[in-house]
Formats: sequence, structure tokens, C-alpha cells
Amino acid sequence: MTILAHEDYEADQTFETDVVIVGTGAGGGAAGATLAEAGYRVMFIEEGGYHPTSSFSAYTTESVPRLYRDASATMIVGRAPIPYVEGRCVGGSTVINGGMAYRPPERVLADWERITGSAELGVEGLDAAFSEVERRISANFQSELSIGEDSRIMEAGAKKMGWHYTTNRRNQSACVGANNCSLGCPTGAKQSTLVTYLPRAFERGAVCLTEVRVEKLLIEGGRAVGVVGRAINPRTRRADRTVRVRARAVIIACGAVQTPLLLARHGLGKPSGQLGKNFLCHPNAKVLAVYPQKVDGWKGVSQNTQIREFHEDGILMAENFVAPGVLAAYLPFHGERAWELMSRYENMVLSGVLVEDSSSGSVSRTLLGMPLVRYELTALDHQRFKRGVKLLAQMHFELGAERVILPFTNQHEALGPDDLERIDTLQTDVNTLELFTVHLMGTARMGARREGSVVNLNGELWDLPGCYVADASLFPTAIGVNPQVTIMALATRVAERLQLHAKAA
Amino acid sequence: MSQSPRPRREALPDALPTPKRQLPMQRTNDFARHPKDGWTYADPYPMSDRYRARLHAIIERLCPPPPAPMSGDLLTQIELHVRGFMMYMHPLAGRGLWLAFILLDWAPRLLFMSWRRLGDLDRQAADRVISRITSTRWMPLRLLVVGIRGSVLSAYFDLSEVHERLNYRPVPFLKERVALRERLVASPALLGATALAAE
Repeated sequence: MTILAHEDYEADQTFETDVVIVGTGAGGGAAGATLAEAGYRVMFIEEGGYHPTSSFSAYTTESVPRLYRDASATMIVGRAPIPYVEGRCVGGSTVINGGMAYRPPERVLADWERITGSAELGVEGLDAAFSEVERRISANFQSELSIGEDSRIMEAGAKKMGWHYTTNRRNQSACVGANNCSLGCPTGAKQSTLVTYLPRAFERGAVCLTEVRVEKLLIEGGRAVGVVGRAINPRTRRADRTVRVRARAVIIACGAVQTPLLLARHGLGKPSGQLGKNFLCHPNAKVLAVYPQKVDGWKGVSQNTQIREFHEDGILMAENFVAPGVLAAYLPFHGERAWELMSRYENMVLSGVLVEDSSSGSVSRTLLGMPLVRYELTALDHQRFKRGVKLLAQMHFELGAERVILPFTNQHEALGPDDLERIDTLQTDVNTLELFTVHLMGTARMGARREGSVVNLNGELWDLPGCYVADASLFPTAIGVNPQVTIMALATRVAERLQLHAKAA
Repeated sequence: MSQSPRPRREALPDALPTPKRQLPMQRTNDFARHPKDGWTYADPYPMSDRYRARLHAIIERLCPPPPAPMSGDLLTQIELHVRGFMMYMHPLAGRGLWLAFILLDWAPRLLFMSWRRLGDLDRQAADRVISRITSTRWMPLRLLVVGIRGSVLSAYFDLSEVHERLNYRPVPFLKERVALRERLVASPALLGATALAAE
């Protein structure tokens, strides 16, 4: 296994390979393993560092800078503003996600088939790719011993309210409910690309250049022939070495914000003008309930179930407990009130309402090189949030919660069901919503016609041969569920198409 | 259709450097706060002593007062964590947070609430200023304080002394879970006996 880091590079160094893949998350990992197993020389480039399973801990202050882009200080601008997080480490966001392994609903894939005009992106067309991904990441249900009290409360709540709920399939192998998913799974049970796809690629000779931020593509004769990056000094965080990788194909898999940012630097995506457009993000809002009894939500798997009663209306509900350092970052209080609330940590159930986007935003490149992500919540989604929060808080009160912390800047707390009645009258301005997201999608959409898409159905840019996209940017629409399985399936398909090209050539 | 690469099976060029860093793939996790995985943590964001003193004062106003855990040593730990976070942000965001601390410190004067700076106000007066900003309808100002509050409280509630008071003891729990999984993986019969929740 060859993983290089900043100290291994010379001041100006050039590598050569068959395929260079920018990013090691769900898309990059799946595409890279597929190509390495087919006999290609694969070189990954990852902006973050390599952190093995044995290094993961429950300490936020140490884990967040290691594993998250910009120490999670990233924000979508608009009404309402939405903080978002992405992984920045070998394994990308699969190292820090909740580990849900859902296929998109059939109605979404039917839409994809209609929009792209290709049955290959429909339910049957993608079935084999989904099955293969699910096998490789061990998508299955949790064992009883891994389930925590907060998951059981959510399940009991759904039953009491008469709501339909499902047990989640998760990418896990013998998960024991350590509930450290968001800071890296310390048992190795979560089947992120760090422990699935990437080791397979490394066994076949793939190399990973870590601590390198790719800044531009190498383009010669109208074709992508590699990338140029800058290695980041881990102590000073300054980019002080130049790393070039020349390759016969380039796969960009940096996620729905960084991928368009890189491509925009070269003025790509011109035929359709769609690059950076169609940004989707499944915004979600937290509902924190405090119960009289001890819950110890930090013991037991996160998100064993999802409440799907309102899924057709674009609303999902689930619990998702996190370490105190992570939870505190989103507290609406400071000082004594923060302590008074957090001292009930062992009594808390942290749940959330996820809304399927009914609008889209954009990602653009600012003059200073920072991404500008814009997204405006629609009136429909605002209504969905108000409804979802109210229902979820009602459920907690039905189960005996003492108080519920609400995601509204002008109404932080409900002490009983009567307080929830005020939501409709108080929440008239979308700016009072406190949102969050982890599902970023759709900024280099795939399509059959160059007028309406950024890449073709093979994942190759319409206006730059040899350059492929293999991440959530490809999604033609929002999928309404956790995206990693879909990203892996599409990335596998892109890698297979790239091989077909090679054989044809 | 564009040209695409054909697979090559020859070895990688000799020019590939030998990694200098030792990767502890098989090492057992000791769940240390600073794991020894060869990764270098960045130096704290550079600040003058004067700025650090102001930062301490602001951190103290945002953090819970005693009887919650609080001491000079803990303040320094929080300060170092916040400065650590700043190094990993986009350089503009890091500089923005630096500036935001200054603005927050001057907020009582800018809002005509007091002639003293936030770090010099007593706790109740400081609470009033912070609460006023966090409830303002002017989004940039609100986000400024929310960002600062989030980074400070995240560091505070990650302190071992605070974990202890919250009855949050992740290290023994995680050790027990790692051992449990090792037993499950080593014994397929045991794994099979743990009935699947959904089946």
C-alpha cells in the first residue's frame, strides 16, 4: 500500500499513471477500485490526510480538523443560511457519514430515466450496479445488540403516533453500536471506502497522494491529460509544493461543491451553462428532546430507523445522536443556559427532519477562490419544515419528553404541546429556521443532451474529453434519501464506461 | 467518442518516493486525544499576547460559569482548540473568525449598549449583549456570533473535565465495543446468534 504525504513530495514533482482520481470518498473510492481491479494504474489524490481506523476517537476538537473540510466551517448562503459539512480525509465523507445504505425511491429513478431519456439510469438499468455496491459495502440491518435507547424511543414514538417507519439498511459489518459514525468508526464496522473500496484498490497497486489540493486540470490538445495540485504543509497549512499527475484519463470526484469549483476554473460546462447549477442539499432541522429518564443516546447505533409516514410529502424523520462537542456547536444558548441544557446530555434524544428539495441552488467560484454556495428555501419547503418539526416535537411530548429544543431562532424551546401551536403564527419568516445539511448533490448533472447537462451518460464532460465526473454532482435531481449508495453505483458505472472506451479504442 | 486509457500492468515507475511516514495500520486504538498516527496537527493560529488576552475574556463570557468546570487552564485549552480550528478553515474564513472576535468584543460599544468591551463587562451585561446579537434579524451579525459561539462551546464541551460532569465516558465504552466486535468477528456462530433487527 503506497500512501504518500506532504513530506514525501519534492518542491515540484510529477507522477504518471493511467487514471488519476481526485477524491477518495464514495465516488472516487468506487471508481478507483473498479479500475484498479481491471488492471489500470490508478492514482488517487486526496486533500486530507490518511487516518486509519485505529486513530478514530470521540474527541471533537481533534477529529473535526482531521476529518472535515475547513473544520466544518462551511456555509450555504441564502434564506435561510445552511451550514454544511463534507469529509476531507482518505475515505472522504463516507468516513464521517451516518452509514445509511438506501437506493433512491423508484419514482426518482423513473424521473431520471425520463429526464435523461436513458433506461440505463432507470430502476432496472441501475439495479445491477446497486446490487454490486450493496454487496461490497455490506448493506444490511443492525443486530439487536447494537441498538440504543434513543432508537427504541423513536420506534416507540412512531408506533404510538401510528406512523409508518422503516428499519435502515446500513453499510456495516458486525456493527456493535459504538455511535461514533460522525467522527470515524473506531471498530471498523462501518464499511466506508476507507475499509472497503480503497484497500481493494491498494491491493491492486493503486497509489494515494494525500495532503494535496488539486487546483487545476492539465489540458493539452483539447483533452484532459492530468491535474496540478499543491501539497499542504501540515504544520503551517500553507501550500508549498507542486504536485503534477499526468494521466490518460482524469476522474473528478470531489463532491458537489468542490467538483464544479475545479471545473469552473477552466470555463468548462459552457455548452449547457449548467455547471454549478442545480445544486441540491436535502436541508434538515434538528429537534432535541429532553426526557425525564436516562437515555444515554451516545450508546447504540445512530439512525436505526427512519419515520417514513410523510415521505411522499418530502419529509423524513430520524434520530441521530452525536458527541457533546458536536452537539454544542449547534446549541442556541451560551453560558449558564448552555450548561443547564447540556447537563441533561444523558436524557437527550436528538432527532431531525429532512426535507427533499423543491428548489435548487448554485455553486460558483469567487474571485478569492472560495466557493460561493447559494440556495433559497421555497415556501413549500418552509411549510414542510414547520409541519415536520411540529409533528416530531408532538411525538416526543406524547412519549413524555419534558422539553423540546426547536430549530427556530425566535422560538428555541417548547415546554409542552401548547407551545407547538405557536409555530404557525411565529414562524412566518424563513430566516428564523436553523438548518443543517450533509447531502450535497447535482452541480454537474448527467444527461443525454449537451444542451441540458454538464457530462454525458458516460460521465465524461461534454466539452473536455478525457475528463470524467464520478460523485454526487452527477445527480439529475434530488433523491430524497442518503446518497452514498447512489454515488457509488454511478461512479462504478462511470469507471466501467471508461473501460469500455479503452477496449473500443 | 474520445480516446481512453488502456490498462497497463507494468510496475509503477521507480521514481515513486518511499513514504517517510509510518502508517500504524495494525496498531490497537488507545483512544488518545492526540492519536499517534503520524499525522501532524497544525500550529495554532498566530495571535499576539494582547489579542489572546481579549480572546480569553470572550471565551469566558460564552462558556458556562462555575459550578460548571472552568479555570484558567481550561480557558487556555479552549483557546488552543479554537486557534487550531481556525488553521483548518479556508484562510479567508480563518481570518474572518479572527476579525469576528474583535467585532464581538467591541459589540457593546458598536450597539451603544456600553462603553466597555464585551470581555470587560460582567457576565449578566455580557449575556444581554450576546443575546441581543443572536436574536437580531440582521443575518450577518447573527451568524458572526453563532459561528463564534459554536466554535467556543464545541471546544468547551469536548474537554475531559466537562465529559466527566456530563457522565459521558466514551473511552471505556468504545474499548468495550471494539473488544465486543472482535469477539463477534472471531466467532461467526456468535455473530449469527445476534438476530437481525429487521428480519
